Amino acid sequence: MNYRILLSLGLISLAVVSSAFAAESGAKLESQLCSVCHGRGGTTSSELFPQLAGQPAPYFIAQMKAFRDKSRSEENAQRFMWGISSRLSDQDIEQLASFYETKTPAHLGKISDQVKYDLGKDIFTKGHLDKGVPPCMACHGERGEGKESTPRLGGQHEVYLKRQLKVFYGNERPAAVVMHEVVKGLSENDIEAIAQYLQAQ
Amino acid sequence: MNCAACHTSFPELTPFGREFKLNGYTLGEQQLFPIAAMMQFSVTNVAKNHDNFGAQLMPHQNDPQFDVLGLFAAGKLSDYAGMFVQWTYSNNGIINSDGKLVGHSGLDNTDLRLVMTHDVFGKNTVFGLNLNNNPSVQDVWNTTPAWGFPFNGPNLPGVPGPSFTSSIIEGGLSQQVAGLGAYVWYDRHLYGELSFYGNANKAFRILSAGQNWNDGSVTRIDGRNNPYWRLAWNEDWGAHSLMFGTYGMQVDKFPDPLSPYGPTDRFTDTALDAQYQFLSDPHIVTVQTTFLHEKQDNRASYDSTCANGPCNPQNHLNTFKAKASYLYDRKYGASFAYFDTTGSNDAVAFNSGNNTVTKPDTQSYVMQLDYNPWTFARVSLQYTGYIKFDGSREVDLAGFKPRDRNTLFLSTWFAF
Repeated sequence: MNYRILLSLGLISLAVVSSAFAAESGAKLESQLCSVCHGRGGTTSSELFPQLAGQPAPYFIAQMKAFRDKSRSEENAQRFMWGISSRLSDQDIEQLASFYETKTPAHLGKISDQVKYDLGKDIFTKGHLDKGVPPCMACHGERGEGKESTPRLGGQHEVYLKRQLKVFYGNERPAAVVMHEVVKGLSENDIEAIAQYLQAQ
Repeated sequence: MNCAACHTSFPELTPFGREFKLNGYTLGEQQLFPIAAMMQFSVTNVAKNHDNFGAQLMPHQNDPQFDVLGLFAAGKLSDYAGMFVQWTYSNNGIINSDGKLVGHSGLDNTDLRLVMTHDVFGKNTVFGLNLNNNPSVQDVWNTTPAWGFPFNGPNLPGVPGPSFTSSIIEGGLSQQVAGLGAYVWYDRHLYGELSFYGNANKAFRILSAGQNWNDGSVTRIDGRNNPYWRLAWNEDWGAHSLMFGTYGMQVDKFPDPLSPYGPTDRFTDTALDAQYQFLSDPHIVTVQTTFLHEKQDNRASYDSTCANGPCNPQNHLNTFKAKASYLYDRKYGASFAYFDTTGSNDAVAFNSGNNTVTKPDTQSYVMQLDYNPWTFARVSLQYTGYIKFDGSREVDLAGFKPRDRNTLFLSTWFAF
């Protein structure tokens, strides 16, 4: 037996004992876990992942629980969030929700297609009443601020919004009853326009 | 955890995959039976398979083979411990005493971790302890040997792979050693590690399960204090991830593996490496490069008459590798890699008998196309081409030009 092995075994025991006392707060969980993909403070420039800063707590809590019980099941939910959410307790989720709710949301202000932006604004604020699409702002707020169990959409990445709106064509987010009806009246072009408008908010 | 969370395309890691591994595989669910399996079938073609004397270079030319069955036990053991253990059956694993290719199984890459996190100067810091059986298997950037490109290739005898001569850290010790080390991952930016390696015998014998210790195939090194080090700076912003680093190892090696006593030669490997990744939907681009310098101090085996050992008291071996990949929608992939190995002129250390040049210089490239119809399946077409082989651009003693060894490898891979 070599002294290095003994030293290593000593370090191992130390690590196990000391880590047992580590408690995790919302801010700590965010910095250790969530921020890897969602950016520090819930603002990310990666279009793969949604912005979480400023997301209403009730919506955040409902989604995290839906990932954890696997009722929200679109491809990326399965890829990333099922595993992550499984280790979070109700208390962890609530702490994370309060953490993100108070963070300043991102304002990307990025318009790449003015025509689509205008169309998106039109649908978002007035709806497509002839196709049964109500104005989005009725629930999501004039600039997509979100409220209570309705998500913040303003400042969200265009790519992410498009992908999620298309998810509602299927049945992988069963909790979003209203959205499943709404998207029936939206064409692919409408979805791209709405995403363009919201990203710029 | 789903494959796509950690890998762009197995085994390349995403920033989350690196975080997952450095946190000791502890993020996510603890499974009751964390078992996965992998299988591979392939067909290999070499441009010229018979030498001037009619002898065959490689068995199974254009002959579909079942290659490999791998079993993995990986994941979380507790909130502070995790593992990655691979057991591999290789269908054309070894050549037996009758000269026939036969199957062989053994423990493959193994990585056991204990981790804790603490704030240091207000920054999140992961402290980890690691036990593994292959230097650099613990690393999280795909620039280092264990998880570096090519990720896959023919495992038939007579097919050299892109580097004909390798430094000791490039697989020369895999599954033959046990390494214990400690690492720090500071603020998701700075990684530092120090590990010590010794042969995986005695108490560590399990880490080399499947190796034959009596036929000279295991590299014998002195003591359990052969150091491996790693320092890396990583920056992730938006869709981008960049790393610059250095790693290396110093090994005291017995000249005769069957007589692991007395004086040793000292091999010192020092490397600089860098990686860039662009991760978006649907485009993913990854680039890796490594420059590795090996100093071989033949203090034990040097023989100025070249009769019983290397002719030079010191030799060196330089390896350069660069690879770029593009992946579309995580389904269609294309990679190009360039390899350049150069080294000392030594009529014993670098004399393979292929030609009269006694330098290890090989220049090669690999072009690869991948198709992943599902996350659990991949079809790959890989072409390895040689510009210079084993010191020479000319026809060698067996009648091969470097390009005669060019290899086409078609494989299908399943994970479940």
